[in-house]
Amino acid sequence: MTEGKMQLDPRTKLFLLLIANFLLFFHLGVRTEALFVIFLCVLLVLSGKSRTGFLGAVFYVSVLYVSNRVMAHNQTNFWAILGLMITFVEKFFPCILAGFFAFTTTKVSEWIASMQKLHFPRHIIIPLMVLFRFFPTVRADYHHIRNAMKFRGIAVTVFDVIKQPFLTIEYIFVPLLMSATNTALDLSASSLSRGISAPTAHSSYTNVEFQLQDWLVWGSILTIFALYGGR
Amino acid sequence: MITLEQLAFSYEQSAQSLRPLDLSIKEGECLVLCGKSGCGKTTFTRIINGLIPELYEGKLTGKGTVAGVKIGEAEIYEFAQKVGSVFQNPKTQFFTTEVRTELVFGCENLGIEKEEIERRLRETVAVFPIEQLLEKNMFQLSGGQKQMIAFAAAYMQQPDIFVLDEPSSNLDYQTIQLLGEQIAKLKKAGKTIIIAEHRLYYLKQLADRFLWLEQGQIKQLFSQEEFACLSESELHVKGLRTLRLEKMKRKQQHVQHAKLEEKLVIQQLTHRYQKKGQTVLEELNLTLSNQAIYGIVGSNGVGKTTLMQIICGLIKPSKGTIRLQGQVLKQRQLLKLSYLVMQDVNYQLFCETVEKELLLKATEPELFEEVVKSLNLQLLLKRHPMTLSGGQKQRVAVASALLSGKKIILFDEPTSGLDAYHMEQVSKLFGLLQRKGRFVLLVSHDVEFLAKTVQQIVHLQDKKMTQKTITEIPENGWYTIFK
Amino acid sequence: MKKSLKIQDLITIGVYAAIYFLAVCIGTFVSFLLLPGFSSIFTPAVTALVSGSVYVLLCHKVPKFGAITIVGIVMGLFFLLTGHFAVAFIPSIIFGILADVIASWGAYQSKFFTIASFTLFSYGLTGPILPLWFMKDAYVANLVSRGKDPSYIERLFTPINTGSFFVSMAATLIAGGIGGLIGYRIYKKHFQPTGVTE
Repeated sequence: MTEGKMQLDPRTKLFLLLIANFLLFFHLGVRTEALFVIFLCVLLVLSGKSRTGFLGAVFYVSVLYVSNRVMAHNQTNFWAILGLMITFVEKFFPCILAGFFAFTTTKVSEWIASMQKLHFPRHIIIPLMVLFRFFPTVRADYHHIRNAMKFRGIAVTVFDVIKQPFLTIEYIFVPLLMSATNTALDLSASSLSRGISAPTAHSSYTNVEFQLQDWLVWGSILTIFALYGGR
Repeated sequence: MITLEQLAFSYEQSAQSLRPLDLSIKEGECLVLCGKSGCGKTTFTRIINGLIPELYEGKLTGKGTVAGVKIGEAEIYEFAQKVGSVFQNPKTQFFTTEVRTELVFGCENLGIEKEEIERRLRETVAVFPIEQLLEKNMFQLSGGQKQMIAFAAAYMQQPDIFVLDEPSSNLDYQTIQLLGEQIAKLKKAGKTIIIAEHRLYYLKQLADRFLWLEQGQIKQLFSQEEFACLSESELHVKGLRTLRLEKMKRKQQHVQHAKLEEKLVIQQLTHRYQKKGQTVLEELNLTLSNQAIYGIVGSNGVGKTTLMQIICGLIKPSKGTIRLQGQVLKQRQLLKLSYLVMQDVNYQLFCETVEKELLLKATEPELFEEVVKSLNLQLLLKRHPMTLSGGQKQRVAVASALLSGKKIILFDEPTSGLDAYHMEQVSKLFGLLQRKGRFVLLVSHDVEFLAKTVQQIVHLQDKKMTQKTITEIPENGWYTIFK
Repeated sequence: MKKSLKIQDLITIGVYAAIYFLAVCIGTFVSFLLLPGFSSIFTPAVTALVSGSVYVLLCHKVPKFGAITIVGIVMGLFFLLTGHFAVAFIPSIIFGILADVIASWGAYQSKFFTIASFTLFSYGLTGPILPLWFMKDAYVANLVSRGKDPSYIERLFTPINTGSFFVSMAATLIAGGIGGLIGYRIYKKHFQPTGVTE
C-alpha cells in the first residue's frame, strides 16, 4: 500500500519480539545479540523508520563500547553498580527496539487479522479489539476528569494528592467507571447490530499473508542463530 | 416490510415502557418518531433492530416481523442482515480504530467474501461523501465525520431497513444538512427508513409519516402534509422542536440584568498549538459583559474549544491578557473564577449524593438554600448524582459552580440530545445565571437553541473573530451564521 | 461454568481491561516518581492500590468464570504487542487464571474471596521485575567470559535482589488487600444500592 516501504506480516514481527525476549531470558553471546539488533535496525530503515533505525544502531554501538570499558575495571562497588546499569540498558534494548518496530509499523486491524489467522478464540479477540479501541478514549476521559477536578479545586497540586490519595483515586475512578458502563452498552449495541454474534465464519478484509520478505526475515534470524547461537 | 401487532415492552431496570401498539410500515416508507425524552421512541428503534430483548432486557409481548424476521424470536444477527442502525453518540458507536476496518466490520461479521466487500466499498464511497476519510484513523475524525462513517458502515451491510436513533444530536448545522441529503438518497433507492429524532426541521420534506409518541403510547400519526400544517405553538404544546428553522425568530427576551455591570476584557489574544506550532487564534480582542449571554459559533477545528479553555484557565495563551474590571487575571486566577460545564457532565460529578456534591469545596455554603431552590433541586438532594437525568445533572453541576463562587460560567454544547422542553429549561437556567451577575458563555451548534437564548454571537473564522448582537443578524437568517 | 460469556460480556471485559490498563499506567508513573530506575519493583503494589474499584466492579458486572482470566490474557497480549514489558505476559496469564478460580469460590460476590482474588491478580504485573535477576546473571556471564571472578558481584547483588524480591512481593500483598478494600468501599458507596439505572 505505502510505496517504497517494506511490509512484514504481523506474525513475523511477533516472531522478532519473541526472539528479543528469548535473548533477554537466555543471555546468549554479544555477537548474536548485536547481529540481531543491527538486523532490526535495517528492518526499521526498510520500513520507513530510518531515523529510529540509524539512531538505534548508533546508540547500541555506543552502549556496547561503554559496557566494554566499564567491564574492564575492577569490580568495586561503584563500577559494579554502573556495570549492572549498563547491562540493564544493553539487555533491554533489543526488546524495546523490537516492540517499537512491531507496534509502530502495524495497524490494529492487521494484528486482529493475524490473530484470526492464528485461530485465536473470539473470547480473546473481541476484548482485545475493545481494549485497542477504548484505551485512547479512557485516556481522553482521564484528562477531562482531571480538568473537571481543577475547576473544583480537588487534588490540583501534587501536595493535594499526597494529602488525600484515596479520595483522589475515588474522584478519578468513579466518573471513569460510570462512563465506561455506558460506553460498554453503546459499543455492544453498535457491534451486535452489525452482526458480531453471527455464528458463521467471519471473513477478513485485511490482508495478512506471508511474502518473500517474511521468509527472508525468518531465514536470516535462524541463520544468525545457527552460526553464532550461544556465542 | 414491518408489521407490529399489540407489541409492547417494559424494561427490567427502569420504569420506561412501550404500551401495546399496532403499526405497519410499508416498503420504501420513511417514518419519523417524535416526542419528548422518554416517550418510547428509542425503545421503538431497539425493537426494530433486534437489540431488544437481546441487549436491553425486559418483558416483550405481542407479535411482529421486520422484513420477515420475527421479533423476540430471531437471533440478533438475523436482524443485522436486514436492518442497519445508526445511533446517537458518534463517540461510542465505532468499534474499530480505522475508518476502513470500521466500514467493513459488519460485512466481515456476516462472512461476506472479500471481492464483494470491495465492490460494496466502492459503491458506498460513491453514495457517501467519505472518500478523503478512508485512510484515516477513527480518532482523527470530527463528530460529524464519525457519524457519517457510522451511516456508511450501516449502508455497507446493504440492509432493506435503516433505523436511526437521534442521529443529529451531536451534529452541527452543515452536517445535519448532509445527513438529510443521505437520507434522501436512501429513500430514492427504495429503502425503508425509521428515524427517532428531536430535530425535525430537516426531515419535514423527507418523512412520509410522523408518529407522535407520549409516555410509551402512540398519540397521533401524521402524514407529511398534516405535519407540515402544525403551527409552532402546536408543536410547542406537544413538546416538539421547531419545523421551520429558516423562520426562527430572534427572541427579544426581557432580560433582567444584574444590578452591577462587570466587564471581562480580552486583548490581543493569540494562541499557537505547542506541538505543531500552528496558530489557532490570532490577536483576538473581545469585551464580554455579564449583562448578556454569549454564543460562540464556528465550524469544527476553528478554535472554539481553545478559546473556552483559555478563558477558564485550563491553558495559557501564547500571548494576550484577560482583565476583569481592569485587573489582569493570571491563569490560576481564571481557573478559580470560572467553571466549564462539559458536554458530558458525568465527568464532573464526584460524590455519592447531590447534597455532598454541592457542598464539596463550596466557598459560599451560605447560599445553599437559595441555590437549591432556584435550580429546583430540593427533591434530589439525597439521590446519587449518576442516577439523575442529563438535565438534572447539568443543574447540579451549575449549582456547584454557584456555590463555589464562580463568576464565569462556560457551557460546551449544553443541549446535545435534548427535546424542546429540556432545551427551554436550559435556556431558563442561563437567564438565572445572568440575573446573578455571572458571565455566561456557551459553545453550541444548536441553531434553535441559540436563537432562543443568546444575545451576542461570537463567530470564529480563520483565526479571527466577529462579534454581533443578535439584532444585527438578518430576520430569517439565523442559519446563515453557520455557513 | 454455569453461564457462558455473551458478546456484551466480552465487550464489558474489554472496556474494564482498558481502564485497568490506565491504572497500570498510573501505577507505573507513581512508582517511577517514588523510586526512579527500579520503579518496576513497586508497580504491582501501586497499581493494586489504585485499581481495586475496577476489579470489584468487573466481578459484579460479569460474575462468570472466564472474565478475569480474559483480562489477564488480554493485558498480557497488550503488553507483548506494545513491547512494554514483553516478558510480562506469562505471569499476567497465570495469575489471571488463579485469581479467577479464587473469585469463583465466592461466586464473584463474596467480599473476602474477591479481595483475595484481586490481590493474586495484582501479582500478574510482577513480570517486569523478573529481568532484575536475568540482569545479574547476564552480568555474571559477561564477567566470566572475560575471565574475571564473578564472586564479588554475586555477593553484592544477591542480597539486593532477594531483598527487593521480598519487599516487592510483600508490598503487593499488602497493597492488594488495601486496594481491594478501597475498591469495595467505592463500590458500596457509588455502585451498589441503586446501581446505575438508565
